[in-house]
Amino acid sequence: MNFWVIQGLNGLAFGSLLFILASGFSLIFGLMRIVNLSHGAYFMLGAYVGLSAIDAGVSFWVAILIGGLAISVLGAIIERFILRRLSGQPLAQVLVTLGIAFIIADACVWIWTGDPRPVPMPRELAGAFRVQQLAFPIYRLFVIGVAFTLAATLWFLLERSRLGAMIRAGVDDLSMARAMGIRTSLLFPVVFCLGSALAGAGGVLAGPILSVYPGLDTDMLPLALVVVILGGIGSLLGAFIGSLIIGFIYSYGQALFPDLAYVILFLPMVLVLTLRPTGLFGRQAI
Amino acid sequence: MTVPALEVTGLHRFFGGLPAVCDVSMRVPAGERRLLLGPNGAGKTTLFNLVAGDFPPSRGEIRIFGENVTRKTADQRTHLGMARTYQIITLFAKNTLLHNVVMSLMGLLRLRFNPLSDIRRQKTLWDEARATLALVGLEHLADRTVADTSYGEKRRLEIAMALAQKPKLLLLDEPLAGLSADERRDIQRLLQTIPREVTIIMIEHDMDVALAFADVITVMQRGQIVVEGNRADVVADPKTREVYLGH
Repeated sequence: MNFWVIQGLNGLAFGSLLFILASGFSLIFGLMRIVNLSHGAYFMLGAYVGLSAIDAGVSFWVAILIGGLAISVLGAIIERFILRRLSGQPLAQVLVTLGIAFIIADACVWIWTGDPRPVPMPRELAGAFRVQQLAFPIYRLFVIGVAFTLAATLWFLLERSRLGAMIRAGVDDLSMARAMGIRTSLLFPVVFCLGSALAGAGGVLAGPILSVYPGLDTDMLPLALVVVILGGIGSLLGAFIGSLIIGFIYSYGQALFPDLAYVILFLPMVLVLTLRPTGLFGRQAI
Repeated sequence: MTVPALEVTGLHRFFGGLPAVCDVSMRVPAGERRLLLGPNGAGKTTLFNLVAGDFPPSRGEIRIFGENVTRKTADQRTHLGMARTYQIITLFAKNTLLHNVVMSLMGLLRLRFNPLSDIRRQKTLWDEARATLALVGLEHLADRTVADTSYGEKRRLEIAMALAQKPKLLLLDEPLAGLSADERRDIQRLLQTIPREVTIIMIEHDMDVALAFADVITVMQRGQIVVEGNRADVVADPKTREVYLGH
């Protein structure tokens, strides 16, 4: 019984990390129709930046902010000077984001070397939460809480706020949104920065669980892709449900069928793409 | 001399090597009802798209109420008092009619990007949107999804969204296209209720309605203006006959 509960909680924690990563990816694709293949690299770079900040003496909480902010600035620069110039050329945009991912990965090895680095956990969240014979790391419970809070915040932002209404208008019909006086050229960097910041902050947050190492980007990006394809590209609810599903599959799959972990992980994606190409909560392309 | 609502000078737009709009110059005084006529492919909608800022001209200049907007974006032109409807109905189909009008109203608010502002609590915004829907006779359908309304109702909603922006210059691209006779009459009546201070430029193929509506008519062919003048002059001009009948 304990095995199932612990693996379930592990799955929830990993799914939460995936949501923090995939929500930004989904947000960027939803509005800008850019498959940002450098998103995994943003996640890794955020983790490294956060680690350096902690090494420099700042607290873990400030390191999350610094990681998010640094990647947000990087995202703003990439959006303004590279992606905007390739507007309307989806293939070029995908390729350039792939190139940026390679550049970031190499730069990380150059700056932080190829050794895996653990990110120290904040002292106040160290230890385990115990209920009878069950013990589960408090930090992982915290990550779950962050993901649910983030989901609620993003939901409010997108579904209820004026800004969200503008973003959804831009997603539905760009030219109509412009004709209504919405400055879509401002929406793009806002969304890209927000998505990048989520990846960067998510990287720092994931550090105490996953550590930081060369290849973290290529480990996480396919998972984020599976999440958004499963949940429905551009759908926040889809990213949330998709993350939890993949988190559970990953956790139980690794524990029960370690040799088939990737089969179990990617099989749902293949099935969804075949049977329901828009994903569980996705909409038809506009 | 008063500032015209719209002034375009030497406007060109090429797609590849193909001229869609070629050396068009036009001056529309404030308050005028202007009709753009011409066969398919004459460049009317391209001219609208250039004026609206959907894409930039290859050459030439566009002024709205005296301000040079040639390099301004579509949303900046909207903020100068320009609104438009589309040849192919363009609405947020998954949302309600009310939400569509709210979006139109919100686009012009100064605090539209406020992430903390809950749009459901903006009572004045929703009240104004309902009042705008009432103007076009759609108040009873306010909470219906756009996808569940008829073609004629969608046309009226488009006009409501444009009117919600309290435009000084309104571009209507074939507002009667695809409508039944009754629906045409409804739209015609609706257009007559628009205050005279609003300048309207309309593309329309229904000659009876269009000629009754227009103060001045501009006839286009192959991207150029071939005839311009009042109703009587344009109808009597042999070039108009040539454009429409080919002889």
